[in-house]
Amino acid sequence: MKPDPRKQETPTGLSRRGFLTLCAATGAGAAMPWRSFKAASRGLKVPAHSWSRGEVIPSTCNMCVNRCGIKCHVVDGVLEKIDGDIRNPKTAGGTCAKGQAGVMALYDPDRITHPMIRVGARGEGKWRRASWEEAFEYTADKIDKIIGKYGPEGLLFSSCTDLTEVFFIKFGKYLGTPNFARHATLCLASRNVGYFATMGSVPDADLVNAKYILMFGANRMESFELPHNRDLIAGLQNGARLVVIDPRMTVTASKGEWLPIRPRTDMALTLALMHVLIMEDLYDRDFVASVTTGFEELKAHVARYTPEWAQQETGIPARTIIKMAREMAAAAPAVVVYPGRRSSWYTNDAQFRRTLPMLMALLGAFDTRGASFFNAGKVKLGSFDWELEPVEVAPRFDGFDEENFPLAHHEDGGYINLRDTILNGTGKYPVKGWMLYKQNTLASVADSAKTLRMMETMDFICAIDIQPSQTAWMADIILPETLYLERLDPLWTPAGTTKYVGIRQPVVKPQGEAKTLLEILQGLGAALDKRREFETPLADVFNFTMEDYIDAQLKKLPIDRATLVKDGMWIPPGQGLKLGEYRNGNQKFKTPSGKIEFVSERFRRNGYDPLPVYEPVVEEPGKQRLVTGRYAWFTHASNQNNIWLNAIHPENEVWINPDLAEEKDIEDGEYVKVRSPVGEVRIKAYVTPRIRKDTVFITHGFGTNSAGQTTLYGKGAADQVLMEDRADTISNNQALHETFVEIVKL
Amino acid sequence: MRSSKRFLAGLTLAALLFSVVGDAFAADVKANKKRGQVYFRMVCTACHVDLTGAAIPPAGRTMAEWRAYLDADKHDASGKTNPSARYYISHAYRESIKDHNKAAKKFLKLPDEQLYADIYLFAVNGAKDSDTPATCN
Repeated sequence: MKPDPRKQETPTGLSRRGFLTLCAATGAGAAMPWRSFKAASRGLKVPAHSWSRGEVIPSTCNMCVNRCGIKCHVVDGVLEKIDGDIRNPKTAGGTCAKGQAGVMALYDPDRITHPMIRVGARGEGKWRRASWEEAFEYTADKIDKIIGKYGPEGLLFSSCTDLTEVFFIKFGKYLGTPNFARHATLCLASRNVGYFATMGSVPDADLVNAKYILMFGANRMESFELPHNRDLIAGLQNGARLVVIDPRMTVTASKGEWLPIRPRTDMALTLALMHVLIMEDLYDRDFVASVTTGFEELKAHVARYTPEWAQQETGIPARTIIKMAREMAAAAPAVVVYPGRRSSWYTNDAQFRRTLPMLMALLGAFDTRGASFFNAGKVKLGSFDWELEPVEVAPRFDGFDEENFPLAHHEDGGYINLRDTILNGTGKYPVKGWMLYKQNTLASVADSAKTLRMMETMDFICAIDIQPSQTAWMADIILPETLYLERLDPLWTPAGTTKYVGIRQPVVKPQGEAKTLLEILQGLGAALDKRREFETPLADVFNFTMEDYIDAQLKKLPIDRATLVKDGMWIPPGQGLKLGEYRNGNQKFKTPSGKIEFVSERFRRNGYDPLPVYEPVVEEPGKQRLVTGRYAWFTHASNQNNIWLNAIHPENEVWINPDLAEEKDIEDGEYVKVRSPVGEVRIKAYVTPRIRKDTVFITHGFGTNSAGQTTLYGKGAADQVLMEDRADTISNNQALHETFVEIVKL
Repeated sequence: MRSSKRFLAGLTLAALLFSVVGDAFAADVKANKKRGQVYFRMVCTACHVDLTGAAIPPAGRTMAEWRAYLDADKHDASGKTNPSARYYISHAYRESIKDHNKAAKKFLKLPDEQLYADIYLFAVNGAKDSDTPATCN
């Protein structure tokens, strides 16, 4: 029986009100083991029965990208409740509001549960139901026509990160296209490039034992990554000093010292901090001498970046900058200069991100207790024996290659670059078919009007998705995939201080006719094989089961699939993180010099400034800089339509400083117009001193154009409508904080 | 912003990479990195993992080390395996493993020099001091 989630009593027996109350009682459910969760809910009106009844199935969450261990309580084939798995070394029983609301993702009445073919104009919302057989033939026919006219390189494959993403990408490769767009340039590509150039990889952080934690914009308390959430709380309890640099006072900033920096001047602060450390001789001489290169050049470079100069740029007093540098030096090496994650801010992000490990290195705050460190690595899973991919493939259509973006990850593509290439007609050849796997491009890429125009150029758009997202709503066909609670996925193993292998497995039967991605690709492959001869028949390539795939992953490990299914995870013996190997020279950094490079050889030889050079900020008088970010109960644009989560926060707002509100005669809660060079929206004002006067903030994921998202439709406004499409010049990571807007009273 | 030195730097790098392949092979051999990657992973890596339990990722050596290794053509001095690296790219070797190795079978008819150039380009481009270090995964 499919329960009606809109009834007051949900299939779990927990009402929406009850869910909200529980989330409030648990701080939005953050990082709290089940026993604590129950204790926190004491005194609340909760269902009479216990959720410990029924079958308890271990699995892996997918409500965000962090893959927490979960336990699913299933009674008579109905999922009633999701808890954190206390045995999981990554999350230790924690599960957030999103994780618990996975129940409602499963029973969401808006879910697509059968194939749908568009019958009206794109975006008109007119669809007809199709059988899978028809859906496969229809899609194969469209793909075949594009290959016939433009070659396989006429297809673009876009995907969101997931354990099954590998199958989608493989499918594109076997068709013969080189054109892929993964999520990196919507997220952390610039951070990765900056750290890669400086120290070869991105380190983890020992937040528990740190004495001083410096975070630039990272909003750890709301952008959940449970181990770091838990560790940050533990670190604060241990007495760590937390300093958060952000134009907005996030929940994270509220837990420490908030320094409301002038937007886009973060690099001025890091350069000035390095200036003080060097000029006052506070840096770690031994570490710098043994583990780094280019110190003398750095010293000369930062001489001009004084705290007084930085004060003019950042708005942070020079005495505060000097005090910060001295306090960090006193706490060193137990200092975390936090790498952050989403680094899609400004067009100089890769260069700014470079300054973070440089600052870390001056403090000697690496490879020791309380500092940054490289993880112990992952469990080595076996490889599946794939058929050979075609090797004679065309170059990418958009020039996202060694010549134009030498330090980017070319197979991931760059969204801003590829969209411009299509719209400007400057590609090496036309791209006319777009295959999307849970990638909501309309919501995730700045300037959605341009994305709509790009979609208009496509002969065919196919979306494989779970819900009618904004982008799926504009597709020609939607193929419904099973939810993470309904399917078996490839195994996964995290990089962390504890190695383990986790499994995601079905806890209930699929809703409606939804199929796994592997089943969809098998059906589509068979339909394509009938039309065209591929180098290797697609039916042969995908002629395996998920169990076969997992068995291949496990073939060299002393664990079998049945045990993993029963236990949900496997923790190998021989754990242990050995610190000090880089400090003592036993391990080399993956840089050209084998050391941390203040002067980046990779940047130098590719024509980029080898030392980060500050670019003065250009502002627009009378306008505010738009920034975006996240609330704890939403993941990107993926679950604002979830009934339970939407009930926590039904509508987004624009954060406005009280001084600006007074100037514009705007009251808290009043609807205003926000206008940028590329769009305008109507949105509720939230007047708060938690943001600078020259900045406004809009959280992401609202203002959907999809009427199929019935809970969300008509609520709030879309930040990406306002954002101009700028990008980091080195990585092509989109730069979401480069737009100035006007706030207009209605 | 990329500086005005970008063009010259690109030329320098291109010249460096060209010299890698150009010095070693005839000018008409155009290396295919993707093919080099496939053969390297499915033949070289697979064999090394089987025999030694450890992979030999391109990122395990510098560009100069790969060039020196491949130019010297010295695979193994222990006597346990063939001393020539080229042997493992040769038609004769591919023929000997083609029944159980998909890459050897697929590239069986490819000239030795072509496949060697492919491997060379993949290994050097993926070296640990390159712009795109490559693993064996």
